[in-house]
Amino acid sequence: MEARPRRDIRTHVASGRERLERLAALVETLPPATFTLSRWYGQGRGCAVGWAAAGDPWFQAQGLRLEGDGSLKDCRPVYGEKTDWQAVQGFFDLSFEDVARLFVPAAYDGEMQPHPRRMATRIRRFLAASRAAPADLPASA
Amino acid sequence: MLSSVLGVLSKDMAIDLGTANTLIYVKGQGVVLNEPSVVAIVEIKGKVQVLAVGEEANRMIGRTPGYIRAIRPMRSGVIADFDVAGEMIKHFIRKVGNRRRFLNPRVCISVPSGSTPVERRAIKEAAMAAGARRVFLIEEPMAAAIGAGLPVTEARGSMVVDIGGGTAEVAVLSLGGIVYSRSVSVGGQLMDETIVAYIRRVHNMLIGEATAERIKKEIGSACAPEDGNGRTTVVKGRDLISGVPRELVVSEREISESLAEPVGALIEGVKLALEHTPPELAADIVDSGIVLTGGGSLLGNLDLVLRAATGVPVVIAEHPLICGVLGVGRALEEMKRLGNVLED
Ligand SMILES: Nc1ncnc2c1ncn2[C@@H]1O[C@H](COP(=O)(O)OP(=O)(O)OP(=O)(O)O)[C@@H](O)[C@H]1O
Ligand SMILES: [Mg+2]
Repeated sequence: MEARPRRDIRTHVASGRERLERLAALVETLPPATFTLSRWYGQGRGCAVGWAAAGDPWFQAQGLRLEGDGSLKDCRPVYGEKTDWQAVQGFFDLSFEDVARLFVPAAYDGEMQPHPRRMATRIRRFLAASRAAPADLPASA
Repeated sequence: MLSSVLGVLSKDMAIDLGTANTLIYVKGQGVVLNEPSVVAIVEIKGKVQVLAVGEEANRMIGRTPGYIRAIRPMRSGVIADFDVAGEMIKHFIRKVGNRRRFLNPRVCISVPSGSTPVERRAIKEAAMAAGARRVFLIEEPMAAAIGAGLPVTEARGSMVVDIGGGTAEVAVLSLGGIVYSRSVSVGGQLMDETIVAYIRRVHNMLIGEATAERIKKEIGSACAPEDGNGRTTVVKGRDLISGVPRELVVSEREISESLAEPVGALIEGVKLALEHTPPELAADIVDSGIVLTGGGSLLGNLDLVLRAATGVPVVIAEHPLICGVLGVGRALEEMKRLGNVLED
């Protein structure tokens, strides 16, 4: 991935929508072999949120972190006081149903390693469908 | 003179110092000790004190106040903590020795093939300190191969894959030596951690490693079931949202999917080893097959998956969990015939 210009890193508090757009762009660049829905992150593989939290300065500047990333079993995304799926819900301002629609294997015919592009497409469709909704407010931390 | 008198009175001990389990075998008595390689310690003013070792230490894990720590001194096939490993060896040798009234036994210990001279010396010294009269070392893959009954001294190639708690060691042996060996950092513990991470993300539930190990043993498989979800098991853990205990049914299909990666790495390791094997020896291996040992070889369908991936027959050793220590024992008993596999 290209390095982002510095001004891009110190950024405003993005809306959940913008964060999802960024996530779609990020996940698209992941080599399929490094993408899995079976864990957050570890041993060179991770899911979209795991990769965003592990190594993407933009997401990190937005307050998304990865904790316990030295350990496969403890590794989890953290946002404010929230961890795991609650952190994902909070960070992207999504309902539990939306999260399930976008990020779990069941949403990809049970596939544990869908192609990253499939997830990017899924996220973009979701954003297009919910364009009407007034979701462009800053996300709550 | 004195040493030969002692030799009559004392019994020899064979020790397999594993990442997950330590086993001791005594001729005529069989496996006399089989305990987890765990030490419970407490640090008082910067000084480490050993509280319990083995089974007893294992029972303390998770049930003790925070300042008691459990240490696995052997990690991914190497000695991660010299002092604690030394204490553990001493404890186990004395435990067997006292009970059986041993007198300065000869001790043979298997060591990872990648262990350094410093690590080997540390192991020897610990055994001497526990009262051993002489200490021999043998490389783990060699011990595993002897224990599995492979013709290691013959001019034929054999391949053994020892899948332990910390690592999987792939080795090709011939004429009493290790021709090629390769360590893959996939062992039972990584499989357990993979299952914990899977249940965490996919089911939003926290389980302990012991629970993960149970799941693996009950319904773990190296490949997905032909159709349907396969066997299932009930898992108890803590819900990550509500924080309260919860039950969950997981299926063989799910677990096989979560294990796909470690299994894949294992297959890669074996394939690479086959590629690096001299052609004549490789031909022998294709003839007689790859032998799997170690607890990890009991993972469901692993033999089938390896066979399919390599095209080479695969058999599981008769007693995969004690194969290593049986091999150490035989090397010690048949020192004349197998002597050159031991390191003095
Ligand atoms: N039925 C089973 N299915 C899958 N794994 C199993 C089974 N039984 C035992 N194991 C695993 O085998 C591992 C222990 O194997 P073993 O005793 O050979 O390791 P070790 O010799 O202590 O380790 P190492 O050789 O890496 O130092 C554990 O991780 C355990 O969970
Ligand atoms: Mg072993």
